[in-house]
This record gives sequence, C-alpha cells and structure tokens, in this order.
Amino acid sequence: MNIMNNPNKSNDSQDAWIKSAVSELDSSVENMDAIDASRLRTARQMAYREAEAQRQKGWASGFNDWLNWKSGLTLACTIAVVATITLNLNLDQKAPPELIAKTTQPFTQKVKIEEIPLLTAKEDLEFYESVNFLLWLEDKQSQS
Amino acid sequence: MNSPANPTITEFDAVPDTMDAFLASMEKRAYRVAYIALSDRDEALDAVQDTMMKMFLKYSDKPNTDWRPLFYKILSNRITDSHRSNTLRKRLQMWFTRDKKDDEGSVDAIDLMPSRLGEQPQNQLQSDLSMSVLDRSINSLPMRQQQAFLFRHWEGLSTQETANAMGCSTGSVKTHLSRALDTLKTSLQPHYEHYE
Repeated sequence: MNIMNNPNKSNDSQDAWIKSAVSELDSSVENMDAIDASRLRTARQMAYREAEAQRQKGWASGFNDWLNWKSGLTLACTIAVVATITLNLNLDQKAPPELIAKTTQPFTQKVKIEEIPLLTAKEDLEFYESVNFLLWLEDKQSQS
Repeated sequence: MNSPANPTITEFDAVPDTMDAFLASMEKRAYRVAYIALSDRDEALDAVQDTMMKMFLKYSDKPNTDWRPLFYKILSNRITDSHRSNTLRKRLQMWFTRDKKDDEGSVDAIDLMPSRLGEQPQNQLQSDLSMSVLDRSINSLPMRQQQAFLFRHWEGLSTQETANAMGCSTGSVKTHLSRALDTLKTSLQPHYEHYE
C-alpha cells in the first residue's frame, strides 16, 4: 500500500495511530495553557504594530530618497519641462488674432522687382558697359 | 482539517476575510509546529511572530485563499533559519570552549557545551519531560520529515501545497512523508495501542 500519494488509502491500523496522533495534536492546541495563548495574542499584536511601523518607515524613507539630490535633479528637470510647456501654451493662447493672421499669411515680396533698373532694362548689357566707360573717361579728363 | 485521519475539522475550509482573524485562527497551530521543531518556547514564539509580521507586511493584499500555504512557507523558512543559526552557534561555542580547555587545561568542554538549542542539561531534561511522547517522536525526525508529516496529516495541506511550503518537489514531499510515517509508526503505534 502506498499512502504517500493519497493518505485516504492508508490501512486501518496505520490510520488508527495517525488519527490518535492528530487528535492529540488538536487537543494540545485546544487546551493550550493561558500563558502561551496570551503570549501568542501579544505576539500577533506586536507583529501587526511592527509591520505598520515598517510600512510607515518604508513610506518615509521612500519620501526621503525622493528628496535626495537625484530626485531633486529629476524634479528640477520636470519643473523646467512643465514650465516650458506651460509658457508655450500661454503664449499661444495670448497671441492677438492679427498676429496669428499675419504669421499665417502667405509670403509677400517686400522689394518690387521693378525698382531694380538693371534687371528691368531693355538695353543690352554692352550699352551699360560703354556708358560706364564714357563716364570713366570723362572723369579722367576732368582730373587731368 | 482535510486529512483522513481527522476529517471532521473544517475550521480551515473557510478562510477568514481579514489577515488579523486569519492569523488568530492559525497562531496556536503554528506555535505547535514551531515548538515541535525548535523545542524552545521563546524561539517558537519568535518564529510565529516573525511569520505573522511578514504576513501583515507583505501578503495582506493577496487573496485570502493563498494565505495558508504562504503562511506555512514563511514559517517553514523561519524554522529552517533558526536551525541553521543554532547549528552555527553550537559550532562556535564548541570551538571557543575547546580553546578555553586548551588554555586552562582543567575544564571539560563537554560540561560547558550547551546541549540542544543552547539549553543547560537540567533545563533540557525539564523540557524533555514536559514534551509528550508524540512531541518527542516528531521532534526526533529530520526537519523535512517533521514538516511533511505535520503539513500533510495535521494541517491537511495537499501534496502540492506542502511542496510549495517546504520549497521542494511533490516527489520529495512523498519521500519525506513515507520515511516520517515509517519512523513514527515504530514509536507511536505501540504507544497508542498501549493506551487504548
């Protein structure tokens, strides 16, 4: 018989002594003396208090860690990013409509091409070169 | 308990909703398991208290159906830790008392060496007398066999739950349980037949 896999299959004689042993263990718990029972109650209460204290300590130390320089740096970066985003949002919101309209208008040419005579002249380029030469010659003669 | 040896006990079938109520229902049995393993009331109490603290701290938010196997796993580990530290302490004490004997040449190290769990012989005798035949029989088993027997037959954990609590395979649980039953049968069967 193999009672390892299923204790239900244990034979009667084996069952009897196991039953007696288990019954004795049960009665030892039920009849536990008052001192031990009281100490156990106290131990449970202390365990609860200690666990609560450790939990609180864990939160406190976590908060302290959060306040150390690494966390401070992270905090500073976070504030900078948030401030930048907020300012940008505010600028967008406070921009006057005409400014928004102006920045969104299509590109307009500031200098008109007609104001540059060289580009709009109908004469040949050699004409201007000869005019320049005559002007230079006149300057030369007047100097001499 | 679910064990066939005591099928009428059903107090653990309904697990209490709160951790405090659960631990209140477990503390006495856990104390018995720890006391049988450690043979010392204070150490057993410390083991149970540490186990309860861990349960409060780490597993309060787990489903209450997981609490029992977790509880016995923590207790089992805690008892094993106590055994290890006691063994180390014994070795250190033996080492130092040997040195002392070498120095003084007049004191017998065997007289100075604490007996089981650091108790003096007279205290150990008192402790042994206060322990029942059952306690002593289970206490004489190796730790794993003790746990296999108590968890399976007394606590009614399944083989899988026992394996989880002991941190071993189900095959190992079956082996430990088989050996435990063989040993206990030798000492306990005549004892109970004598009192019947």
